[in-house]
Amino acid sequence: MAEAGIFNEQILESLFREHYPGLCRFAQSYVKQDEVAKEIVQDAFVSLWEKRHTIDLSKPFKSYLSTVVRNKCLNHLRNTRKFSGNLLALENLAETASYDQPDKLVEKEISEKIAISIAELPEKCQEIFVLNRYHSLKYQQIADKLQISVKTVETQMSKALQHMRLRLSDYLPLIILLISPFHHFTISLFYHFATSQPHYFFFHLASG
Amino acid sequence: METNSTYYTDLIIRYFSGEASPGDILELEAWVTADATHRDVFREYQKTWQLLDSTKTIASAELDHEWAVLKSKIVNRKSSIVNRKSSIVNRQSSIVNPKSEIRNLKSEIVNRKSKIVAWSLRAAAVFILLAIPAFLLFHFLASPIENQLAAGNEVKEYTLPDGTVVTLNAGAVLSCPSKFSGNSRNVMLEGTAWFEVAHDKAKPFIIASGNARIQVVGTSFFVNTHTLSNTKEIILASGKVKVYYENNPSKMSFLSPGDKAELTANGNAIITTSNEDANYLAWKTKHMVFCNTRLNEVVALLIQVYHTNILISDNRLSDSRITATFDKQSLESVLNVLKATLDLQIRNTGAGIELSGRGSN
Repeated sequence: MAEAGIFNEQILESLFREHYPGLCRFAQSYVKQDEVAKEIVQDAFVSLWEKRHTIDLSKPFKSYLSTVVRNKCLNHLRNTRKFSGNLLALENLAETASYDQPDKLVEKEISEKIAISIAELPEKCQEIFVLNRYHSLKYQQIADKLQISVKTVETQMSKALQHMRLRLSDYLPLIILLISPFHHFTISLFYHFATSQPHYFFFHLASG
Repeated sequence: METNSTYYTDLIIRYFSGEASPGDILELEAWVTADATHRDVFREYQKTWQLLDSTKTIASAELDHEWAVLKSKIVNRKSSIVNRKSSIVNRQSSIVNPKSEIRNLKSEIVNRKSKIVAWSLRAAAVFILLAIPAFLLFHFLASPIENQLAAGNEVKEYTLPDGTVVTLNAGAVLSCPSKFSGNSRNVMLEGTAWFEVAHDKAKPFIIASGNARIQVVGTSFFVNTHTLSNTKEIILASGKVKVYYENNPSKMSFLSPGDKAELTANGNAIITTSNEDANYLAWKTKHMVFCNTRLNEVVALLIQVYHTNILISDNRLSDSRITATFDKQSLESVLNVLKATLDLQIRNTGAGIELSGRGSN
């Protein structure tokens, strides 16, 4: 068992490298903004560092960090008057961060499917979508960069997401499996069912 | 109805991309809770969004920067605590020790410096975030490119970390990491090369050249990225490869042994034919087959293979036909055969080798 005195920078670094990506995804699912999510996760690690002498080390860091991040996210939403209990409840967000990497094979297939679906978008639409989703640019930044109106950016984003929703519909039931802690067991068993009978699965999991 | 649904789609997308205002969120909440079908649409978009985000990876370079940012925050806090302590000590000893003033000044400078470093690190981190290119999505460049193998003026053979053997023709440059990490083996090529790729089904071997991509499982083939028409040529000897453009991975071509693919410079067509050029590997093997071939074509190949300038001084000579096979012979012995067959005179000028004569036919 680690003692309070041993919590040094090396330990912080290894914790950071292990948990940072998963915590960012976790925070992002609440606050929806990449930059805000990253800042919140950074702050959570700073507070972990400051409390390193008093923190209860018998409890896992993961749950400590998740709790801190979640509280900071909810505070952020309240402070910016963007808190909606109903929407968050519908989104069924996890209580703790999930760091489990998705099954490599499925992940690869999904990545390919996403890449192909993106390639199917009209050129302008594709550019706007990629700038927003993969470069984390805001609507206004994209509008400035491409010399178009924010309204156009919005229309193109909706168009892109409508397309992605249709093209990825076979994979949508998978998302529940991907983020569930026991997906290693379920994914290979149910994967074919999921692709051939998406609706069965969608409803089954949604009700369960 | 139609305009209505577009309106709420926009609202949903705005919500998930973090663009929604507090008013938007209230409106969306009211709409979603009003009807079960609205709720389903909302959840489907949420899942699409999650699926898109689930494949996002954080590059190790980004993680390094984020760690540097965190570290600077912690170091700043630490030094501010130390400073507070030292200022108390200084206050006590300021009358006694004039040197402490200088020390105090110094520590202030150090503190200011570390703040500047922290800010510039933050700025660098933001810049890196913006600069991460979209093709990270395709898991390309999963490993950093570290080594550049360049053949210079001769043909050189290299063995890559995975056991793949690459022969680079003169002038070719291959960029390759010192170790293949990640899900694929990525290299970049400019020029002409022959690959014998080590078999590893789990880690596809991907060669990038501009926008063109060649993906391999384990096979041997030839790539030329420097053709006259600015197309990229791939000739497959054995195995199977997939060729595609980076920005359009859905349009791809699979090659079988003996196939030749040409990828155009503007990146929209893949032309597949069967390879008719028996000498495409002569630069590597020095094995050349000529069958009623015109002398100017023979000379063009000899220049490529032996990297020596060869001139034909008489136009009529260019049209002379040759049928011969050469295998790993020196240029001198090849020229001697030509000399005997076509009754040539061969002269070594300063600029290269000059062929003259009237030709035999």
